[in-house]
Amino acid sequence: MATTATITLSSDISGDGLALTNTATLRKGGTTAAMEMTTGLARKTITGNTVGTFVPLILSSDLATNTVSKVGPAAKVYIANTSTDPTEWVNINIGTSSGQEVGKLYAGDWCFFPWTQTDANADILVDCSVTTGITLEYMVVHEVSQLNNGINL
Amino acid sequence: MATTTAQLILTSTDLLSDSLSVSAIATLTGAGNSTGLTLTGGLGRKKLTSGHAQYVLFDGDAYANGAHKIYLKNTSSTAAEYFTIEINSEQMGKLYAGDWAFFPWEANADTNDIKIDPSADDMTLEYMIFIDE
Repeated sequence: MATTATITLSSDISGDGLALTNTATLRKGGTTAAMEMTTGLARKTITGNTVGTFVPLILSSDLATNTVSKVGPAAKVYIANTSTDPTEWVNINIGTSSGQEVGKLYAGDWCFFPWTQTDANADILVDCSVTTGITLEYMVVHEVSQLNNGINL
Repeated sequence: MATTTAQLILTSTDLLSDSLSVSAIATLTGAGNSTGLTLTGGLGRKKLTSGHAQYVLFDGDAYANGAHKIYLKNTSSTAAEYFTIEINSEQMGKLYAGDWAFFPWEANADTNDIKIDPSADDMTLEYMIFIDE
């Protein structure tokens, strides 16, 4: 069983150019065992929001109440902003109580990053630049298989 | 104007009963416009040789607020070895051996540093920033 994520970066940004390709096989944290769980590829339109206020997109698994000793430490998150208007952005934030803004996905941008879910508040939240609707595509590949009260929205 | 593209291909033949093939391609542009990013820190490698304390990879104070993009890769081949990635004081996740990450970074505060903390000595991280100025 294997799920792979390949990135290709191409650019004429420097005189030498850039042509970088890397493939990662998605494995459970600290092992060579393949990830077995996923939310599936989802689409969600955020609309009627208040610009400047983050809303939940993916909930963290709750380590405080979860009896599984190792909960989702190597989860991988994919999020894409499907807008085609270059002024429309989606701000990505990790954490609800002492959260941290990561950065803004502008139209057509995507991101792929590891997500540890350090506690129940380590949710992934988003803030959209318009209230008329921005559609996100997102997916989590993870290893949480039981007793979780997060991830599966 | 430079043209920089980032493509992701996510595939699996057995994660689900149906095969998975997700492809996304982005042209890296400045915040709120269609102008290609023209600056980069170049592709770098950092080896943390002694001790494995937290290290500031990108200092929020050194970059203007913008649509920067970050690429990170853990070059280790030992499955148990990981880099913990933090932004400011919030843990994003653990980048295990062979894993890579690509994400936006706004650098919207001086404290909005990107920090790495290797789980063992002598681990090497490959990294690159595309800068929106």
